[in-house]
Amino acid sequence: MIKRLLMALPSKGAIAEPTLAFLGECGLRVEKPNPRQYIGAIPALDGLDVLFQRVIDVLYKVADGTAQLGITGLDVVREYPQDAVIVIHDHLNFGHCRLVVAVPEAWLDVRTMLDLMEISLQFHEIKGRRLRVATTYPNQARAFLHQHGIHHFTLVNAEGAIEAAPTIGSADIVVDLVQTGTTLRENHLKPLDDGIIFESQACLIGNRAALQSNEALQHTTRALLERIDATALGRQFSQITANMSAGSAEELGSRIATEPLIRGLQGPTIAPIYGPRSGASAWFTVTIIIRNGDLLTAVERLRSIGASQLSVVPVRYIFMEQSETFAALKRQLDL
Amino acid sequence: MNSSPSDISRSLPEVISAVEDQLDRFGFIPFETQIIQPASLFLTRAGDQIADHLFTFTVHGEHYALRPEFTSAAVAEYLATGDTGRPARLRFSGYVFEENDEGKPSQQYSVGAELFGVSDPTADADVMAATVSALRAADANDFVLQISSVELTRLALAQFGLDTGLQRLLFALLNGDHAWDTVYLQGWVDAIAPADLGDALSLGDAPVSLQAVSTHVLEGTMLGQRTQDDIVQRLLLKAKRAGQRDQIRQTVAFLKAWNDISLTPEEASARLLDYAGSRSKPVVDRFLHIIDLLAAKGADHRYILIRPALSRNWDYYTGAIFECRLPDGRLVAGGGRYDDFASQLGARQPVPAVGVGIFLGPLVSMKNAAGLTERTP
Repeated sequence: MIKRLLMALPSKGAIAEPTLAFLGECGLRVEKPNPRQYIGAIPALDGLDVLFQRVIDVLYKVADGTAQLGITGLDVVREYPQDAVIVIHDHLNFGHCRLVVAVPEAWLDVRTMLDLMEISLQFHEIKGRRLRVATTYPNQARAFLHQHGIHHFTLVNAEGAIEAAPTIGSADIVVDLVQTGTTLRENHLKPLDDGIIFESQACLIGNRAALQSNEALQHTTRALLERIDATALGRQFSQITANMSAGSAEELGSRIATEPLIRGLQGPTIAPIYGPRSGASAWFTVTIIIRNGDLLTAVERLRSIGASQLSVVPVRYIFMEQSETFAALKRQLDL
Repeated sequence: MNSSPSDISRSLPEVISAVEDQLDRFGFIPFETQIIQPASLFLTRAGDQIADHLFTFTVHGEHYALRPEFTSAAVAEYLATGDTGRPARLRFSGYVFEENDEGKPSQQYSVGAELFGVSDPTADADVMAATVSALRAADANDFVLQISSVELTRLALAQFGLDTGLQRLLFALLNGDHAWDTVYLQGWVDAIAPADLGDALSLGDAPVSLQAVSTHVLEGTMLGQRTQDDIVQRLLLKAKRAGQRDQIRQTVAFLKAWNDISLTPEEASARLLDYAGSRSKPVVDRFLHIIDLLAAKGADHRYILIRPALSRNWDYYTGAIFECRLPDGRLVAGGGRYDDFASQLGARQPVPAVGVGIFLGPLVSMKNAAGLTERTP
């Protein structure tokens, strides 16, 4: 009997919906037969079931091997490092947020970590008190504060609404995840200038031992990463199709080859258009792949060497010789 | 100086009894402290490293710590005896604990000694001499005894006329784990006393008076454990510091030089006062007297170094402090004077005190240590 593989995905929270959207974009639509159930499937990946969990449990399920793969936040992985878990892809490019140190807006005299250090020393030596820090990221908060010379503090474990802890009076400052900063402002808090602990985004994780030994899992992971890499790369490029007239395909090819920007990934694809000729020249269709940022420049260049009628479509996937991420994973696992 | 650490080949029990015997010769009598203590006992007076590495846990909402040293618990338990009128010499023996960088507990065997009730320098010299004898008895002869005085550093810092908050920060800068390069120090000064004051005060370009800030901006806002007055006073302080950039630079330059000072006892007699400033004369004299007494007790001057910037990881020290390290840098003993600690724990009379912790791990041969670790739960 072939054991089915399991990928844990966030069931709720800021990255739950974006995860499904991301997989959809990669051509890996997730089927969830019943919104109340915790099980789903990705039809495009044979033999892979989906398990919906809270972001933190995604990590734990992968760590204990219940799931072999998972998508969660880097913030979670960094806060609760697991030897059994390997980060396969650390920049899925969604779920961006940052972990920051924030203090009451009314602390007009505090803008930097050094200011905060002075306040903590003042608390410690004059008031015999400790700075109270509300956070759900105790490990990273502790390490960051220590690194900035702040040693006399108490971590207040506040589940849920961290930003409200200073208002309630259970903490002086917070260390919390921030997406836009609106929640901080609404709670009369401000991030410190140099108080960014780290930038987080969604990541793909896997169970190290399973990835090392399970061939079916390696195969599925590779298929998954092929799609993810190809989608990520494709997203950066557009395909331009231009109609151009020239004496011959060769002549047109050499005309384009002089312009590095519009050569595309390897070189242009040139195909004849069968239609009315104008004098000695014929019409050709030139197809090139171009970085999105170079699009308008490329259009200008193509025009300048005779292109008329240009159409542009986004590139969905670009598959290179191999999935770079999978190659990196193999190196990391010594496969 | 006739053995190197590689020659050390004694088992932990042998080292323990050698060290304890020496302390007994100096009149220290065995005393016990509990391994599990309220975390606050250590946290309120812990220096940076200890606060970072204290092994704490919570049971039914109460915070506890495994003792990282003997002194705090020794003072608390000594006070609890109620018999604090006469001088007392107590010694302690057992494992001390900390949390390593991975957040896991680590333990090592330590022997401690505390001398309560003697305020003159003989006590400092006595504890240092006992430490030297104990280390020698454990076959560690190559260590360097570095001596300093937190009192002296504080006094030297005070001569620059900066506010006490800034002096605290400068003291922390001296103890901090950072490079002493120009770029870092310049950045530090800029952060403490920004040239652009408006920016520092979060006031942007608005020409707002500080009194206006107090009455209009802070009214009814969330302040945590700080008061309106705390904030306004510190704003005023920052404004003042912005006008003291030159003084602050000078103080930082002084600290950099202070950090580099390393003198033999002879050099210290001749030059320490020049470094510390003439106002420090009584403290310098007292400090040098300790070193003279130490020599009189037979401690060899050749392995003593005066390092004024030396810091220990506890905030409770008030006077001379010292450390013994092996040539490879491993700490085998550390201690000093802490005259205010008993008062902070609620003693009605001040209890002058000097203490030391001796760490036996590095004194036991690797082979023996490994054997012991396997058998020790």
